[in-house]
Amino acid sequence: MSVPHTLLGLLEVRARHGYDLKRAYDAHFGQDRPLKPGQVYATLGRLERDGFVVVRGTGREGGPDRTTYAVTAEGVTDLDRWFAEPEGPAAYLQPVLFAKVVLALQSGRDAVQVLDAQRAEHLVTMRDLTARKSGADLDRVLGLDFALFHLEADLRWLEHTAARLERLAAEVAS
Amino acid sequence: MSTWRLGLRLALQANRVRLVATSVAVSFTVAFLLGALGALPARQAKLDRLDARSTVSVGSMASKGLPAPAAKVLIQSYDGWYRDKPLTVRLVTAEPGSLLPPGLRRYPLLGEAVVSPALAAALRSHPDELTGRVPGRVVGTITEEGLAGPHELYAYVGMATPPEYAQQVQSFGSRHQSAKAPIELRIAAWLGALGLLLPVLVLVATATRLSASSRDRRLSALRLVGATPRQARAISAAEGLVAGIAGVAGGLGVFWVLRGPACALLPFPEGVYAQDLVPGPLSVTAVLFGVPLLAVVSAVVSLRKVVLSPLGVRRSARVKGAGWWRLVPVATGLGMLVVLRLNHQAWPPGTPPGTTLLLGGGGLTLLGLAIAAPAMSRLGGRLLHRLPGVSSGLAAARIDADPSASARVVTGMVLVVFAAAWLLAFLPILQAARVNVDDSFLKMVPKGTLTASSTPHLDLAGLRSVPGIRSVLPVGDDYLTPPGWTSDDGSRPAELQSRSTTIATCAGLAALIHRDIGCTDAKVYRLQELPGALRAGTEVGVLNQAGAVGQRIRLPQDIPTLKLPLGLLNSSWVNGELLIDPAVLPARDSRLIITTDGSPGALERVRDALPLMSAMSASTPAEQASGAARVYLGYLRAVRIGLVLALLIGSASLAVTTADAVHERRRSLATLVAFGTPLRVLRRSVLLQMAAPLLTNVVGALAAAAVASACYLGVTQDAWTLPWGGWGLTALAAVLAVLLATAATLPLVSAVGRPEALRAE
Amino acid sequence: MTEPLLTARDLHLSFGESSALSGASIDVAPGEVLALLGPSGSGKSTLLHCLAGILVPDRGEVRYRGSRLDSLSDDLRSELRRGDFGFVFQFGSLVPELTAVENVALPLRLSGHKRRTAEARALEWLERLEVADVARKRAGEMSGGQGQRVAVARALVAGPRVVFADEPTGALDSLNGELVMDLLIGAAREQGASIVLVTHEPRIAAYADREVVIRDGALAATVTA
Repeated sequence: MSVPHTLLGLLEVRARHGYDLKRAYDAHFGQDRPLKPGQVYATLGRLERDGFVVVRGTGREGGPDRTTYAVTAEGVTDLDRWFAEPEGPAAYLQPVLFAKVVLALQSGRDAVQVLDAQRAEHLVTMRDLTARKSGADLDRVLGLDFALFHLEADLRWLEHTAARLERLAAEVAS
Repeated sequence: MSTWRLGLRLALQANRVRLVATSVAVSFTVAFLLGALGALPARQAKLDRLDARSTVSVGSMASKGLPAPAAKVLIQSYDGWYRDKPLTVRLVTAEPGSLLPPGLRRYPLLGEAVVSPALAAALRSHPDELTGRVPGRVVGTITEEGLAGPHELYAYVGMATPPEYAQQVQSFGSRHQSAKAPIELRIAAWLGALGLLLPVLVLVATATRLSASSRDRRLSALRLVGATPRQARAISAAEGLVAGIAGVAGGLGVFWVLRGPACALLPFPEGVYAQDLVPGPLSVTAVLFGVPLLAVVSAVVSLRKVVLSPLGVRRSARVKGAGWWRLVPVATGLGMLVVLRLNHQAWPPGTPPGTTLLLGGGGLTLLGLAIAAPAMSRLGGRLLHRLPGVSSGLAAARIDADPSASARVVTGMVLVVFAAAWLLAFLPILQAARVNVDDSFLKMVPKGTLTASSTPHLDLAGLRSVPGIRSVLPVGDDYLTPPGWTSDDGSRPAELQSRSTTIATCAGLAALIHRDIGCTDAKVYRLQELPGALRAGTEVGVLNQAGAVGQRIRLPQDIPTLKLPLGLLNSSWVNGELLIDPAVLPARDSRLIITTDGSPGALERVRDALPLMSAMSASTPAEQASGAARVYLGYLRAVRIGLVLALLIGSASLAVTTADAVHERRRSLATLVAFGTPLRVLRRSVLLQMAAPLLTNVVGALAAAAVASACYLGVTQDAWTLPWGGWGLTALAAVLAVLLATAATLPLVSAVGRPEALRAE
Repeated sequence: MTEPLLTARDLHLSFGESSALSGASIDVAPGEVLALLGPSGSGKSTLLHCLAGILVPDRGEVRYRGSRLDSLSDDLRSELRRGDFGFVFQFGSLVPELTAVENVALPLRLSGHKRRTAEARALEWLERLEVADVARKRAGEMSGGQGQRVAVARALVAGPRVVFADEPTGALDSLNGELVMDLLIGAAREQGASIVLVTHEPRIAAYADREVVIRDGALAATVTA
C-alpha cells in the first residue's frame, strides 16, 4: 500500500487540510486500517520536503487551526508516473490497485488504462513463470504454480473491477 | 392436479417446436384414419344408390301381387364403353305422371336426353363421338342421387315408341337391404387398415419422442428438485394430451379440407363423391379418443429411463441389444409355415394343427420382423462399414452406435412392405376364381380392334367411310347338322349332334391378326379335328332359328385344316368345327370385327356410326378384360391406395425423425463442418444411414414374405406364381419414399452445420 | 518481423441486432501462439471463427498467406480448414459414434487417405498424446481430459499450419487443463504450427507468446513480451 501516492492522489482532486485528508482516506481505503493522525502529518511533511505538495494556507473555521495542502506540478508528474507504472507482481496488491483505480476515476484519469497496464504486467510475469515450468522439477513447478495462482487471482479481480468500472465511478463521484 | 397444470405450461411454453410437430403428426394420423375408415361407408352409399335406380319390372318376382302403375314407363338399358370408361344408356318411353328414378326431375321426351355431368362434359368436348349413342338435345343433368359417382357416364334418352325389349317398370329400387360387403373385401379392408395403422402408430410414437434429449434434460431437472416419477409421468402425459387434442382438431380440419381433392385423385372409374367419405360414428369416436390416448401413452412409455433417475442425462455408452437372437422369432414363424407346407396333406387348414401352424406362423413372422429389425439394421451398418469413403464410415458408426434407433425409424416401412407383399401374392387367388380372360387371345388382337354385334340392314359402306377405320369383317355363326336328320334333337349320339361353324372369309381373318394361317382358294376350312358328323363331300343341313333344318349345303371333297394360333379358337371371333366363306353360306346372325388406327377418337367415331345396340356392344379386348377383371382390379387398386398412404405416412414419420435426429446432433455436425468436412459428405452420410438399414430390412421382409407366401399358397392352391415384379416395385417404392423423405431433411443439415451451433449450449 | 500467416483487418460482424465484431484487426505470425482473452460475449470466439473461415465477416478482410479467405467459396474454405487448419473446441469436438482412433483419422480420411494408413497415423498421435489406451473407445466412454487430448490429436494429425482452440480447457479441471495445454503447445511448436487460442482464463493465456484482449468486439489491448 502506497500511502504517500494515495494522499497525493486525494490532494490532486482538491486541496485539503490534514484532517480532511485522513477522513477521505479512511472512507475509501481505510476501512480495515484507518490512518493514524501522526502518519498523515509525517507523510505530508515528507511530501512537502520532496516538493510534491505545498502549504496553501492556514485557516480556522470554528475549530482548531487547519493547514491546507495542495499538489505541485512535480507532484502531478510523480502521480502520472505512479498511475502509468504497473505494480510489480507482489503479494497483497489489492489495496494499492484499488486506490489507483479510485483515484484515477476521481482525478479524471483513464482507469481502464491503469487496469490494462496492470493486466499486461501480470500476464507477462505469468507467461514467464509458465515458461519456467516446462522441464522443471516438481518442487520447483509447485512453487511456480503457487505464484501463478496468486497472479491469476489478481487478474480475476482486475477483470471484475474492469467490468464494473462505471458503477464504481458513479459511487466514487457521489 | 397442479402437476398437470405444470405439464400443460411446460408443453405450451417450453418446447413449442416439439408440440407443433407432435400435433401435426397426430393431425395427419387422424385425417388418414378418418379417410381409411370412411372407405367402407362410401362404398355402401354407392351401392345403395345403385340399388335405388335399379328397375323392378312389372310381372317380375319382386312385384308379384302388386297392381301395375297406371302411368306406364318403359326402360331399356344398354351398357357399353366410351373412351375406356363404362357408359350406360337408358332408353325411356314414359307416360305423364309416371314414377321417376332417383336423380331425375322429369323424363326426356323424344329428341331429348338427360345426362350425368361427366357425360355432359364429354358431349361438349367431343360432340362428334356420342350423338349416335346419346341422341337428342340435352335438357337436364342427373343429380348425385342417381349416380354411382361424379365421373360416371350415364344417360336417359327419350323414345317415342318403346324399344324392342323394353320392360315396364313396376318400381325403382329393390328395397332389399343391399348385401354386406363380401368377406374378402372386409378382410382386405381390415388388413389394409392394419397395414395403415402400423406406420401411423410409429408416426405418433415417433412424434412424441421428438427432441427426446432436451425433454429428458428438462424432466431430469424436475426430478432433481424433487418431482416424483409419478409427477414426471403426469407432466409428460399432459404434454402428450395437449398435442393430442390440438392434433385431433387439426386432423378434423385436414380431413375436411383435403377430403374433396383426395377423392378427386382416387382412381375409381366412376369417381367418389367427397360427401360419401364419412366414417361411421363408432369409428369417429374411436379415432378422436384413441389417437390422443395413443399420444399420451407413447409419451409416458418413452419416459421409462428418465423417470428412474434424476441424472437422466447418461453417458452414451455402447448400446447393446441387437444380438442375432433377434432373428429367432421370425425364423421360428417361417419354420412353422414350412412345416405346415411339408405336412399339409396330413394337416389341412381347418384342422387344429393346420390352423395353429398357419396363423401362428404368419403372426410370428410379422412380429418377428419387427423384433429382428435392429439386428438387420446392424447388419446393414456392418455392410456399410466395408465400403470405402468417409460418409459411409460415419453412417455405419451411427448405426452401430444405436441399431435400435435406426430400426425404429424403418420398422413401420418394413412392415408395410411385408403386408403389401403378402397381399400381392394373395390377391391373384381372387382373380383366378372369377376371371377367365384368355391372355394369348388379347395379346394377338391389335390395339383398337372392336368386336360388335351386328344388326340387320347395317350400312357397311357408310361404316367403312368413317375416318380412322381400317377394315370391317362380318363374322357369323351357324349350326350344321349331319345328313339324314331333319331337326335338332338332344337324344342323338354325340358324334351325330349339330356342330357350330364360323362364317367369315379366311383371308379377312388372317389379315386381322397379321398371320399366315394357311388360307387357300378353298371356301370351307376345318378349324379342329373332331370325330364325327361333318364329313367332306356330304350334304349337311343348316339349322334355322326354330331348330329345324332349313337350307342344305354340300361340303367340298377337300377341306384343308387351318393353323390357328393358340387362343384364337373358341374366342369371341372364331369357334366351332368349320370356317365357311359367306359366299357359300350367307351369315345369319352376324357380328362385326372392326379394326381402326387405334386412336380413341377413331374408336368412338366408329361406335357412333353403328346403330345403338351394336354401338353399346362394341368393345375392345382390353375393355372386355378390364370388365371381367373389375373386382380383382378394385382390390388391387385398394391395395395400391393403401400402400401409397402407408408409404406417405411412413415417409412423414421418417422425415420427422431424421430432422429431429439431425437437430439433436447439431453440435457434432457443426464441429465436423468447422474442421472442414464438406456438407455433401454429411448429407450423404445421413442418406446412407437411412438407406443401409432400410435395404437390409426390406430385403429381409421380402424374403420372409416370399417364404410365407410360397408356403401359404402351396397349402391352399394347386397352381400359383409369386409376384416378383410387384414385390420389386413395392420395395422400390418404399426405398424411394424413404430416400425422398430423408432428402427432404437434407437442407436442415446445411442449416444445422453452421458455426452458430458451436456457440449455443 | 516475418510476413504474417494470417491477418484480419477491420472485421465487422453482427448476428441480427447484436454486433459481435466491430472493427477487429489482428495478425498471426508463423509459429506464433496467440491468445485471445476477454470476458464472455466479447466476440473472441466470433473473431476465431472469422479467422478460421468458418464465419464470413460482414465487412473487413481476412487473409491467409497473403490471399483473401473471406471471399473464397464455401467448398474452398472447407478444403482449407481440412488441410491447413486444426480445431479444438470446448465441447463436442468428437463425433460421439466414432472411436477415438476413427475420430483422429477423420481429417485424413476426408483428405482422401486410405482407412488403414489414416488410422495408423491416428494411432501414432494418440500415443504421442498419451491416450493410446482409449483408442478403441467412443467419446462417451472417456474422461473429459482424455476426450480433449484425442481432440488435440485430431487437430494436429493432418499437419496444420494453424490450430484454432476455443476454450480447449474450459470443461477441465486445472491440472487436466494444463496437461492438455502442455501437449497442445508442445506438439504445435514441434510442428511449427501457429495457435490461435481463445480463453477467458489468464493461466491458459499465459501459454501464449502474445495475448490480445478483446472487448466489445474489438481489440482492447495487446500484451507482448
